[in-house]
Amino acid sequence: MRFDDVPLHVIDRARSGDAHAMEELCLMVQQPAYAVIMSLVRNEEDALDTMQDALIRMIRFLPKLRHSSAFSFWLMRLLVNQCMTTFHKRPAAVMDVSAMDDPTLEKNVHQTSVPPSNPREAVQALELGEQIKRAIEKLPARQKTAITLFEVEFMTVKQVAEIMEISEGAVKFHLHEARKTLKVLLHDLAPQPQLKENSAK
Amino acid sequence: MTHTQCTHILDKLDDYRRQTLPEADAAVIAGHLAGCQSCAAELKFREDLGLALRASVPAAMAPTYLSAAIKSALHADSDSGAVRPAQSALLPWMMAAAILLITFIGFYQVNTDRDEVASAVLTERRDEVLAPVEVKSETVLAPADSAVHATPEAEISREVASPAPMAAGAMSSKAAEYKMENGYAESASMPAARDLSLRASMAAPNAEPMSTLAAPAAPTAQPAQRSAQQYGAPAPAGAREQTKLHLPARQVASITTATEGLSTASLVSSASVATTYTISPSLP
Repeated sequence: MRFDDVPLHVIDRARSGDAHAMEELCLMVQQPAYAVIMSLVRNEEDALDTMQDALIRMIRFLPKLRHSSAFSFWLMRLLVNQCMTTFHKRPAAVMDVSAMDDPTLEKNVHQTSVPPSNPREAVQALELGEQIKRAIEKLPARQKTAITLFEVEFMTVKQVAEIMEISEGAVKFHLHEARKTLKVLLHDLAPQPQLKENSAK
Repeated sequence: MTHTQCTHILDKLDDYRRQTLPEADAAVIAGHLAGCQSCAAELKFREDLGLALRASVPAAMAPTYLSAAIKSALHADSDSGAVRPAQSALLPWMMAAAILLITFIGFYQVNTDRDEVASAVLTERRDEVLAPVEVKSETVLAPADSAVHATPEAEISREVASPAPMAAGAMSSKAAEYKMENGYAESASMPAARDLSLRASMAAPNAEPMSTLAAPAAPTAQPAQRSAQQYGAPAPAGAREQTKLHLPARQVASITTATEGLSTASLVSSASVATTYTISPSLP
């Protein structure tokens, strides 16, 4: 995980109420924590809000952490839970499964509370990164979280299960469902060669 | 390739990508992928999707003002006491002990109050039954030995005066036990309670119910006399006197209550004390 490099003595001092250690800890984890949040939320404004809430929770609940060695896992779970909260605060996106055969992304996905894309956004949507982002935003929160932790954060299925507090079978199910949906959404808009070119950049 | 084989391979495809499988399993999967286009396409899709997802993550550099915001927020929290040290491990146990202690004290207080209320109610009921106790009795001043022999009668009179049938039954058994121990003549075929009632009516046909402290009534001094004569302890001259007592009913009840649970010997001494009490000078 991203927080394994934080020294244990800093965590210990922060747990015992040392304000300077708490400040040092916050500054040490802010960059990797922000990266995790951005990989999940994929929106700077939401990421900053989520980051602020997550740090507040970390400061408040760090004294209740029993073992400093579990800090990395504990903070990762805290961040993921905060991101899940952010997902639920967002306007819901509803997938029309019956229209999955339609190859056009904009026809497949109906966003309930966001107005239809204007021409400028349609042009920007031609970029693969933006298409992937939009496709992922359409996923349910658990599928989105599972596939991001597995593919972006390089966690194992077991680690994802522990962080999301679900079974490994449930993680595999969410991964399968997310891939199936993304395969449909990205099939025509993102041919394989373009994917490789974009990822190489 | 069968569908079952592909399903088995697809289950392990992520581990194969991460290279976390044993070499033997990895070789089996590689062989399967070489001959199965469907599974090979799935592997390619997963790899490309992973690369795309990682590449599509926005710039993850935290804004520069975030550090300053964190510092200011921390200082504000430390000033307001929001940053608190870790809790002591003993704190939950101490809280549990305090709760138990408070609960115990509460129960103790409630039970004490209940006992006091019950005692007060019992005393009031006894007052209703016994008071005003106007005893017309002939008290026999006797030495300690004669007091022992006079005890059965006093006990009988107490049982007759007792308002509770259950208590009367219990005390009648005590009286029978005492009589058996001391060779007191009694009809074995007569039930104890009825025997006591008859004895009481014989002892005091015209008298009101007698208190615990009262000796047998004056007109029928036979029980006391018989006791004294039977056991060879005649009353001293001038010891007989007829008194009309106005005993405080509450004291009578309390002494009666106090003597109910005592053994025979205790009752004997209590009766002696009671007799002393009756002739003590609360006369008008």
